[in-house]
Amino acid sequence: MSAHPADLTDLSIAEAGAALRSGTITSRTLTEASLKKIAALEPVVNAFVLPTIERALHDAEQADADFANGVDKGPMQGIPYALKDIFSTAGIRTTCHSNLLRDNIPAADCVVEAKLRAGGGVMLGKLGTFEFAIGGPSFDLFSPPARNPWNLEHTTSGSSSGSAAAVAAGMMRMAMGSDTGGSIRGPAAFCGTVGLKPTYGRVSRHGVYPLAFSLDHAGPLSRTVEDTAITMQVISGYDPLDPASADVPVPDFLSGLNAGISGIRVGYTRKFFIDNPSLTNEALTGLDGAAELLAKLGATVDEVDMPPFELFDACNRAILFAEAYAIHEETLKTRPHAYGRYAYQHLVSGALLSGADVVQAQRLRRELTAAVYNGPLASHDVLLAPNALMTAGRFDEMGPDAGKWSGILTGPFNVTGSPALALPIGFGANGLPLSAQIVGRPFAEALVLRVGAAFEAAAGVVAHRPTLPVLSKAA
Amino acid sequence: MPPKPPQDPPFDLDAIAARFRAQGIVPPDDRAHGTYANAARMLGNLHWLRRPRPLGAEPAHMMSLKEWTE
Repeated sequence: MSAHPADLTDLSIAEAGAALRSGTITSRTLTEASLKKIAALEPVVNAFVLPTIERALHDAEQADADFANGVDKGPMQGIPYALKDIFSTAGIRTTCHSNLLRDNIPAADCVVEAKLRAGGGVMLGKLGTFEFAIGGPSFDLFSPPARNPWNLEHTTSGSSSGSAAAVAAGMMRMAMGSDTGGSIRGPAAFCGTVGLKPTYGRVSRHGVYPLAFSLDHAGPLSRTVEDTAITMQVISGYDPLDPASADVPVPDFLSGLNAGISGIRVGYTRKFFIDNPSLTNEALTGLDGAAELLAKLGATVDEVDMPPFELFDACNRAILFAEAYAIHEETLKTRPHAYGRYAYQHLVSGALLSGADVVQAQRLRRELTAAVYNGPLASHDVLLAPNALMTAGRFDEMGPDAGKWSGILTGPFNVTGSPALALPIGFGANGLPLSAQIVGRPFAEALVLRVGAAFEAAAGVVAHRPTLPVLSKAA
Repeated sequence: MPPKPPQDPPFDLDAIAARFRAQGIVPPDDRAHGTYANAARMLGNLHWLRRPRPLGAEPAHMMSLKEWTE
């Protein structure tokens, strides 16, 4: 019998899968380990809007029965996971963390959930989000915002706030999030998890409540790059129900994951962020260090340029706010107080965009996309780019009104639709995580993950976990 | 590269309120000021969208029947 860690939630998805198949653990015991941790930590972390304990135990027993009967549905069989609460779940409340949808019970699963369920996964519940994936962290909703497991006085960023908090706290190895301007990668950065925004069209959004149709992506947050690669193997693929879905082959995300990065050309976008007023010295040191480490691992690293961030940012926001306003227009007019304060203030601003503004943004999007793919991503295989330029802020720094978003440079790759991996690179002086992005050409997730895996193995950052007293008690 | 706009451009509260009203929106009193300030920040960045674009320098790309004709 192989030895397992005292806390089974420390098993990677691959390790847990091997243990399940060898019979040294059951999905039931693995799931109970997650549920124990959730019970201990949820009162302070607030990652969930709805844990689904009965469903989880049912899924686990089904997975164990399948293993016993020789039925293997794939690498997520018997593995606990959870969903951001904008992912529709049949018969289970899906609220978008909004008072407006507090009683919404979808009739059908979203496609991602259908794939995870068909793959034998164990659904632990629905995770908190910024309201409608835009407004937060909010205290005027039916459920409080998630807190950062590295320091509970600090925010998680958003909007996949519960997903990042749950994974960082060790409640599960993988949680699904969505990303329209950085809502997977920002929380991943602040909570020290891996987070992949796949290529636009790689993962179906059908059944995921939209924020902005042409910018929305669904993707995983996880403890390690390998966990993300395994998840991608299950959730990727063409879906005729999503008009943006791309009918392209799904590669084997795992076979080359540990092939190393010798000879890979990495473009370091240092000029792109060096003058950003939000840049902290420790983020710059972390990013420079990441570039040096990638070079030591055999990659060719040199600096590349990108169009100014301000262009991407204006483009991302104009399209995002226009599309989001179109979705919420009627309710914003008729039931403004049904929204939390932050979500209302963000969403309603789209009313002031003109038709010309939106078309200009679409023209700019095409120009910026061409500039990236004909520029740095033509001469280089991947980009090393900044994520958040600082560590997570404190809750008591939040103002009463929706503030400007600054210092998280993720939106450019929603504009270009590129695969972009948030990767922990170290810690600030306050002990909170720092992060970078590895960005690739369309549908080059396998290479992005390979670079991420090489960095992760050499850097050793993911071995460091939150050390709050309440976390050590739960272990 | 054009000059950077100010981080928080001054805004005319009455003008922005009027623009919202023209769209049929009257923010609740307790949320109005923050709503206008947030909108002002967005409006203050729109100049970045407008760049010199010679006619004919870009293809028509807004509409395509490609997916139904292959």
